[in-house]
Parts: sequence; structure tokens; C-alpha cells
Amino acid sequence: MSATIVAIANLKGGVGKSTTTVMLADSLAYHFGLNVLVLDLDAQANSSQMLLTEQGVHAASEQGKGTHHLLGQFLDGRKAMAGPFIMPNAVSIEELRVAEMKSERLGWISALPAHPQLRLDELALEEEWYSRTGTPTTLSEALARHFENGFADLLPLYDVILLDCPPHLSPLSRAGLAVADVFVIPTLADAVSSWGTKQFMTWVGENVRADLVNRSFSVITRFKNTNYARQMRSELQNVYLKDLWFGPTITESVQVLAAMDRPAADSYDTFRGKYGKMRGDVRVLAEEFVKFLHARKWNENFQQVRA
Amino acid sequence: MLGEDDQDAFTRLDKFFEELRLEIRANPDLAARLVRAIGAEVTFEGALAAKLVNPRELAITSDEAGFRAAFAAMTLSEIKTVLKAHNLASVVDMKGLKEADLVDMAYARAVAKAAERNI
Repeated sequence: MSATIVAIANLKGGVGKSTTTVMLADSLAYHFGLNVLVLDLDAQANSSQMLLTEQGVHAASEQGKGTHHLLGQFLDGRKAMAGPFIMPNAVSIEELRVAEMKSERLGWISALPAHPQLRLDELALEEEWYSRTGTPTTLSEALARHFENGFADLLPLYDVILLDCPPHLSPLSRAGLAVADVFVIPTLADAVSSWGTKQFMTWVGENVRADLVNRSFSVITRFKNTNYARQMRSELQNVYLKDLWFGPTITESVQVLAAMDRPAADSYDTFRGKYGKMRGDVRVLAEEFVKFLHARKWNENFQQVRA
Repeated sequence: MLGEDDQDAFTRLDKFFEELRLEIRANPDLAARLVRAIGAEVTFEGALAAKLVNPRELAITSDEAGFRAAFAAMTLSEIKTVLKAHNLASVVDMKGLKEADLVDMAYARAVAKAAERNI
């Protein structure tokens, strides 16, 4: 096993990056029995909160877990190791928990959570780096090397590592994009989101991955079924992003909002209970993503284990 | 003395308030919002309380005793409905729990969630 590293990214905020990250993590673990690590690079810590709750995020930080500790390791010049900063249990799906209790693990989610402290630590790092005549580019390159070294021990342990990236191109974000094998690009079916997606594709294509199009899987999220949205979706899928692999369109849903609001860190729900009427869309999201990975030869071994 | 037009005005106002009264009777959510708007404190009970209580809001505006009192007259099923409706527990979380356990869970989780969100 060698994990495929997936960046969930877009320069536009509010397009559903964190929600897509969590839905993909849940569905890959549940339907395909995969061992998933969610690594949150966004100081807003939304996917971390969705997985662990806000109290869980703070508790994790107090236990020395979180991406800001990985950054601190870099700042202090210590050997790169991401493993010690991981929360081993970020599962909220009852079926996964029950299987684990019976020592029949079939799909699991761990998290390297973000914490709001990450923003301050990144600023401190940039101040320090630039005071030594470094540039944003050299910092992002050095951080990418730190990540590569720090993730090396994790690759045999996980099937998929999901990087939830922030909606900008800070050195930390660029480092995440640089180490990713493939990209999941959530977007909304509206004009401003299309611009953000275009800017992202152009910049990353020119500066990070020349073959970005082949590595990209797009999802239209928070879809409202109006004439305008249908037109925009059609243009995105058939014109502007026609060479990208598209997953299912995820509709705007109260059920998804509720699913992302975990009642407590010790709360579990069945996959059906958590996603309700949206569970079919969430399953198809993982199915299409796995088809994409197979077609692009990133991983051809993932098989569905639960309906 | 009232003229014909004034009598007509009073008749219409009577009809207006009668319609409002009937709507308030039929719509407890509207009743609760109107009661809140005039600044009065009213405790709803039973099924009505289950429909109107917001545990997170109650966790901020009331002490623990007040919070528990709001659930006191509710049945097991009503407490479960409140927890599910306010996303404080899943069906799995509530399985096999008695009324007192559920109210304990409601209080702990509502306080925690409210603390996460309250500025």
C-alpha cells in the first residue's frame, strides 16, 4: 500500500472544500473500506471541526496533535515526522466503529487536524524566513520537502491522504499542492466560482503541475436547481472544464449541513443516518473518484466493500 | 358617540384580533415568537415544549435547573425528538437511554455547542 495524496483545493472560498473532504473521507472509508487520513492545511479548521468537533480540535492541540505542530517542527529545524501529530480516531460512522471494536476493521479515518493557531504560526514562519532573504517560493519549496519527508512513513499506512487546502496560495498551501498526486476541485455553478476555478487551474497548471487537467476531478457542490445554475453547470462541464473528470453534482441540502455538525466527539451515526437522502450522492462521489483513480492509473486496487 | 363608520372600524378590528387569536392558538411557534417579542417569560410543557424548546439557546439563557425543568414534562419520545431535531444526538447515541440519561446528554452537549458558538 502506498497512499495516494489528494489535494482538495480551489482559490475561491465557500465552494465546499471541507464538506467535500469529509464526504469523500466518510464514503471512501465506508464503501471502499479504505484507511483515510484527513490532513487539514486550512487554519479555519473546518474539516477538523466537522470530524472532531471544535472541542475535539482544541483537545487535540493540547495533546500535541495538529498541523501547526508540523509547522513548528519545520521552524525549529527538527526532523520531519507527521505521525506523532495525528489523531488516530476521526471516525463518526457507527458501522466503522463497530467493526473496529470487533477487531474487524474495514475502513477507518484518522486526522491531522488544523487549529486556528496555524495562521499565527504560519505568519511567524514567514516573518522569520523572509528576514533571512528567503522568498515565498523558496519557503513553499522547503515546506514541500518537509512534507514529503514527514509523510514518507505514512504512505505505507494509508490508502488515501486527503489534504484540505485553504482558499489562497500561501507557502503552506503551495507546499500542500506541490506534494499532491491528484486534485479534487469543488466549485459552485455560478460565475464567481468559475473565475476562481479558472484562476486555480491556470496558476497550478503553470506553477505546480503541467499535467493538472489529467490529475483533476471536479465536483459541483451546493447546487440549486435553477435555470441559471443548470446553464452554468452545463458550461462548466461541457466547455470551460470539459477535460476534467466530473463527479456527481451535490445539491444544496440541510441534511449535509447537519451531517457536518457532529453533535459531540463521542457521537456516532450510521452512514444512512448521517447522510439521509444525500447518502446516494455521497456514495457516488466516492465511486466516481475511485473510477477516476483507476482510469488515471493512480490506484487500481480499491474495491467496494459495502453497498 | 360612535358614528356608523366608527362602528364598522371596531367590527373590523374585532374580526382582525379574532383571526390573530385563532392563528396564535393554532400556531404555537408564532405564539412563542410573540411571547418572546413582548419580553414575557412563559414555560411551555409537554408536546408543545418539545416543539418549541431550543436546547442550545436554553443553555445560554437559563441555568442548569431551568434547562432540566424545560424537559421535565416531556416523554422519552419527545426528548428524543428534541435532541434529533437540534442535531444534539443521533439515533445510535440515544439507543437504550432513559429520560434522565437523555436530559444529561442534552445538557452536556447543548452547553458545549453553545460555548463553541457564543461570542
